[in-house]
Amino acid sequence: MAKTKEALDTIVGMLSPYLGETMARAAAHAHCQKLGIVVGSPEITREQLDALLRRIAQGLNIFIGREKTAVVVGEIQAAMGGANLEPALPSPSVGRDRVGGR
Amino acid sequence: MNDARRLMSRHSRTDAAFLLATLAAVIPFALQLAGRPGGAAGDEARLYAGNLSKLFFVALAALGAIGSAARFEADNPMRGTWRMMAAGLLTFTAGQAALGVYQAVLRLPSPFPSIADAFFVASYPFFLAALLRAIRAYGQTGYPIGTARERVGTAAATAAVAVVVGYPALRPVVATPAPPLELLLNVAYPVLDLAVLVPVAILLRIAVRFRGGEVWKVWAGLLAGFLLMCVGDILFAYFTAMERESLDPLIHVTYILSYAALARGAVGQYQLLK
Repeated sequence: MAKTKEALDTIVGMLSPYLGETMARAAAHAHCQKLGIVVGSPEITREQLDALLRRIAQGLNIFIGREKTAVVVGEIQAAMGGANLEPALPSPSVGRDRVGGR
Repeated sequence: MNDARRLMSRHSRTDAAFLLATLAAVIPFALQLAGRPGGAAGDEARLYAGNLSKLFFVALAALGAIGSAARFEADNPMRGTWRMMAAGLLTFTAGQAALGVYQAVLRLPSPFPSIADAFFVASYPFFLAALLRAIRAYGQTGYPIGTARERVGTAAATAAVAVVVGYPALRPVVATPAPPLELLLNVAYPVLDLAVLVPVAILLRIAVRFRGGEVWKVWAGLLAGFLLMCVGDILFAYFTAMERESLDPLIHVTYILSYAALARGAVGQYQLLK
């Protein structure tokens, strides 16, 4: 389990150089909402984090390609202290989350 | 140093290089506008700076677009966007090269219309297709980029503004006696530009949400390039019709800035993928 706010801040911080802080935050929050993750909740499960990163990666693929997205996602995972997340890299044209989706 | 920091440092160097190259290219024209044409040496400087910089920037934009299309995966919706962009920019480069041959190699005043215009006109369908594909690709990101209704509203508002701006600007062009093909092209360029402005406005409204990030720089460059191209074509048609050749340097500056912005956007996308 990780702290939700810290996890989101890490994700936003890593995405901001590419998407800008406003879009990085808006995208993270929008996906949290779609996945049923409560932004204000104290903790986020590994499954929820996996699903969130997978969704974010789907969009990021379209701007920076899959290879670069893998690097960014890897850096997010490393920054979260090696949260042992599964690879979060679906094809941009596929992409339905198995965990936590509506 | 993480990947994002390396990228930002590389992009800052790219920004500086583009700024310097663009300034060097526009200075001879700015001096002429400021009443310091510099005699025969100034004319020579403008001839070569104008032709070479335009060709360099538009060819660089084409290369950036080709590289970006090649680096996006086969199933990435942006691949089609960049392929179309590359096709448009390559066609445009051919047009610019033809103009350069007339002016800098044969040292003739470039004929209008010429083979260059065939290439320029042929590039527009590619640009339109690229921009429309980009709008569709943005929609597939799942990011909060606004609603389809907002995009329709932006398209309608831009089309209305295009008519309001285009009609008075083109009226004297149509009223001026000219050979049919020349008249057709003088009207066609601004009309095609204004048509391109509709997807440009939609993309600008989407891309502005990415302010502060590298994605914004890519699209700000491309969209500024198309906007300036539109301004340049309207000025060209207007000044030609009004016989205001003294303002030609302004047209050259506008085109140089346009092609530099397109190149910055395309190279920026390529760097994002590397």
